[in-house]
Amino acid sequence: MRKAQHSQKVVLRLVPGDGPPPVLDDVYRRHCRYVAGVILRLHGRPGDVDDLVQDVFVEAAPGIARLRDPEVIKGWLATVAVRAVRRRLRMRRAWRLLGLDTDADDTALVDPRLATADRSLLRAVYELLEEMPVQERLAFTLHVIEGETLEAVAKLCGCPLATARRRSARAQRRIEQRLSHGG
Amino acid sequence: MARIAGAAAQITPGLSDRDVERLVAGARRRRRRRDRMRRTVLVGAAAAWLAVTGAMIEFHRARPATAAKTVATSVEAPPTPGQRILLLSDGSTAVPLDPDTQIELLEQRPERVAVSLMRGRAQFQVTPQPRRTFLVHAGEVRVTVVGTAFTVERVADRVGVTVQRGTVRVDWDGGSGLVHAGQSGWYPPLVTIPPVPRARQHKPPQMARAHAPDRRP
Repeated sequence: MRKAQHSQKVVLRLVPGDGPPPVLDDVYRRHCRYVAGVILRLHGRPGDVDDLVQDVFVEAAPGIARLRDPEVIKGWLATVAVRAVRRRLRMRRAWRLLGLDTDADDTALVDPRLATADRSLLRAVYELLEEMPVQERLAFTLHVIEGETLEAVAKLCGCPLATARRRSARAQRRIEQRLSHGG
Repeated sequence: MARIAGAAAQITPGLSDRDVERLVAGARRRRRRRDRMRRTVLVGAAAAWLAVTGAMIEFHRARPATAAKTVATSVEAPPTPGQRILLLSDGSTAVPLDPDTQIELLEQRPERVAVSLMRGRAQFQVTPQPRRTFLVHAGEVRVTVVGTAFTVERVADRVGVTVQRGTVRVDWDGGSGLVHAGQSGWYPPLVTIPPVPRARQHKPPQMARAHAPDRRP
């Protein structure tokens, strides 16, 4: 899913193929690290990754059973991961509004071996992402951090291209303004 | 933004092979648990649907019997063996006169009572209540009474009405008429003549002759 080097249209289509159906456990093993990485960068909290990864695998199982192409399966898992993270972020936002969100420490998200400047930058970005509407946060994370094209972002988020573009741009403006003011 | 993307590229979960196996096993367990729960919900929903359907069938089956009381009472004509007298809450009665007579209580309210004579003959004794309408439906014919005793009989598509006491109004598609005590008639009439006096009690009413005079008592 990380396509920082070149743009590529992501086509997410459940296509029946030849050969025996994939064994689910094998599919999980092959894509586990990928799904966990996507979830971690979208969600921002390492403590929830295990739970979300398992939820994504269970939810994606019926679709996986109909697919053969590994790239298509990967895309399908990404779609389900975005959906699962969106649900979790909305719930977290609601808890936060009620003052019940206690697990707000995301220092573990950032690798301590990173340069100090990068660690500070990422910490600041993810703090700002926590304050953003969920849709804008996802559009930004998918487009800027994951390197997806806006067309792919629109497909993954289930919205028109113009909406994906608007959300990503709005999120970028917020982050740029806050970072330039030293926020 | 490029700097953010570059720094974020180093955010990885760092899963070992053991972590991967743990997650795969966890996903397998969750899938099985979800499938079990779905089966339980489906079975529960099916059981609930069956229970509700059964209860509704039983309710509708029992309703006609609970709408009318059955009691032995003194009536002019003795009840036919094996038949039940329809006794209403105000004391009005409908007594089947034939073994195959079928009566059904359609409605019983303070202002209106409706009974259907599906088949055969029945004698009705209606407690006088000026504010209550008592209706007997017999096919396309409707007999409306206020307080009286009368007999209604269905033969094919004709309905015979004999009045022992009081007055009834008989309505049919295209007309209506009054039948007084001592009178009888078949409805809808084949020809437009008034009802003629009945010959004897408990005999089927005679067909009115085309030119018989009006002989009200």
